[in-house]
Amino acid sequence: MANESANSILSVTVPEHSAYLSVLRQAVASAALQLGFDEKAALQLAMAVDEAATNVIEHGCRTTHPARISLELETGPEELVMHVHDNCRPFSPLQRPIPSLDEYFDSNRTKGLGLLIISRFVDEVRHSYLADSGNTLSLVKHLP
Amino acid sequence: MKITAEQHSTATRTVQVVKVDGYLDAHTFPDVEKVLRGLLDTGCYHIILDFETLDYISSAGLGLLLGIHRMVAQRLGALKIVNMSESVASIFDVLGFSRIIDVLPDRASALRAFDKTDSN
Repeated sequence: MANESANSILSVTVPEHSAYLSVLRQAVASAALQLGFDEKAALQLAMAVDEAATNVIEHGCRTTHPARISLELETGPEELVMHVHDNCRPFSPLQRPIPSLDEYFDSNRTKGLGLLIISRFVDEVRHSYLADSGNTLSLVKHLP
Repeated sequence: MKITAEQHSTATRTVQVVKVDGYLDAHTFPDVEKVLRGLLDTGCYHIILDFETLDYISSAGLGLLLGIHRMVAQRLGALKIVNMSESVASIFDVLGFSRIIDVLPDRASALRAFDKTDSN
């Protein structure tokens, strides 16, 4: 990258609507390829962000102000951090147990795969909430 | 997204081939679900999904496929997927869906597989 000290490489905000998931995926995949991830890894990162954003949409904002999802990508010396931010009530998907693949297939479930995907495709997941700004789910992936 | 459905006849049965174009995520999966459930409602339990022009699938799409697979299997039918791109195949493989749902190279092999199942 041209500027070693700047670590925010992308920022995009979309309405909280599933029609915009493809915008977020394309942004992540393009950035990941630029950072040296191969196509398979870039797709996986895009998928992880897609699942995080879908979680936000499915659980809804339940507020009166326009609901938005912001994606910000930052790089550190050894990692890419993808922040998925919403301006909604406090909600952490990390509070729910993540099934294993065998548990998922052995059950009658068709939902719940999103968290499993996120946990598989990134190295670390963090959640934070601020009353004046909302939730941030941070997905961390070590750079190649 | 574009979804097309056409009927094919093998030596032993009628198979519905559904081609899905674009991407199968939380936004688009309801349209695909509507088509597939429509087939089930009319008694069609032998389905081929052609993913030749499908670029992406999310958990919403995967969950839909798993649900349809279970429903047709309960009715002694089957769901088979063909012409999967490398990117979608990588997702299928990593998440273990290739172990659950039949993935075949093309429509012809899937249609033959339906007949082979019947002759066993």
